[in-house]
Amino acid sequence: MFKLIYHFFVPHKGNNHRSKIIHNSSLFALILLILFTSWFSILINKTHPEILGISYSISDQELLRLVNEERIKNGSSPLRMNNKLINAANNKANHMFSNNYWAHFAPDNTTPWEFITKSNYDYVYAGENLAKGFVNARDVVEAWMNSPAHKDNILSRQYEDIGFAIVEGNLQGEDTVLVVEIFGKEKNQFLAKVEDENFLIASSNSAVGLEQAIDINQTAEVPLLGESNISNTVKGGAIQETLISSKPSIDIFISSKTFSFLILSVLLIALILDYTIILKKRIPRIVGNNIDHIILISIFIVFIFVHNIGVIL
Amino acid sequence: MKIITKHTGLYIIEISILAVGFVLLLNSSYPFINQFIVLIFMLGFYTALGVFRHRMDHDIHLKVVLEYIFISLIIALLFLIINIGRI
Repeated sequence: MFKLIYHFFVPHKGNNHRSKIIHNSSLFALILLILFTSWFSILINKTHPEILGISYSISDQELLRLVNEERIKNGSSPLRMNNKLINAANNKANHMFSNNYWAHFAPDNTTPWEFITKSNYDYVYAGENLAKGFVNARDVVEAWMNSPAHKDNILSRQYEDIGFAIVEGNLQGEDTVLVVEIFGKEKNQFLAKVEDENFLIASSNSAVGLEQAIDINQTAEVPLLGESNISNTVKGGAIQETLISSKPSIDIFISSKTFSFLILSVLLIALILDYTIILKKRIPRIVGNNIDHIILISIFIVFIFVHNIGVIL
Repeated sequence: MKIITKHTGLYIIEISILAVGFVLLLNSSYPFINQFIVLIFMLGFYTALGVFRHRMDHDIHLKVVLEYIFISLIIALLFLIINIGRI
C-alpha cells in the first residue's frame, strides 16, 4: 500500500521522475472516471430522484416568520399574509415559467404590478423580491437581507401585507425552485382605517369600509394554476402552509462537491510534492508547468466551497 | 523558483483572469450554458498561456500540450458535476 502511494505521489526513477497520478495516462483515466460518474449520477438523478437529487425544503410560513423577525429586529411592524398577494405571486411565478424568463419585467412587457392589480389588490405601495435555486427559507431571506434593494423591501414600513409563491419547474433549461415575494399596502385598508376612525369619532354604525376590507381578505381564492407544483391552497379564507420539499437519500449538490474536492485535492497534493521534490533534486524533464496547474486547481477548490446555485433578483 | 521569477508578469495575468472568470461563474443568475461557455474560454486561455510559456522556454512537446488539455478537461467535467442538479 505504502509503495503504491509512493509510486502515485512521489517522483522517483520508477515513475520516470514524475508522480504517477499526474502522468498523462493517469489524467486520462481520471477523465474517464469523472465521465462515468457524471453519466451514472445523471442517470440515477433522472430515473430515481428520490435516491440522488437536490435536497430542499422551503415553506411560506418559514419565510414569513424570518421576514417578520427581521422587521421586528429593525423596528418595523410584522407583515400579514394576504390571499390576493399570494395569488399575484403564484401568477407571477407561473408567468415566469411559461414565458421562460428570470426578471421583474416580462419579455412581453408585463409589469410586476399587473399581477397585483389583476388579483384585485388595490395597492398604494407594492414591491417584489425574487429568488431561485435555494434549498431552504433561511438562505433565501439571508440572501435578500445581504442585498440593499431587497433588504429595503423587507424592512419598508410602507408595507402591511405580503404574499409568497414557491414553485418548482424548469426555467431557462434548469430545474429550479422559484420563490416570489410580493409586498403591498392596500388602498382599501387605508380607507378602512380612516373610515373606522370616523366611525369611532362619530359613534355611528356605518363602519362599512372596515367590514369590506375584512370581507375581501377572507373570501379571496387562489385559483388552480395549470399543472404546476404549487401546493398553496386557500380554503374558506384560511391560508394553508405552502411547503415545497424534496429529501433524496443522497444530496447531489453535497456529494458532487465532495467528489470534486477529493479529486482536486489528490491532484493538488501530487503536484505540490512533485514540484518541491524535483526542485530539490534539480532533475530536468519535459512536462507541463506544475505552478500553472496548482494555480488553476487551487482557484477551483475555492470556487467549489463558495459556489451556491441560489440567486436573487 | 526560477520559472516564477522569469514569468512573473504572465503568472499575474493568469491568476487575475482565472480569478475574475471564477467570480463571474459564481453568479448563478446567468443561464448555465452561458456559464459553461465562460469556463471553456477561461480554460482555453489557460491552455494557450501555458503552451505560450513553454514555447518561450523552448520545451514545448505534444505531451505537455496534452497535459494542459487533460487538466482543463478535468476542471470542465467537475464544473458540470457540481452543477448536475441544474442540468
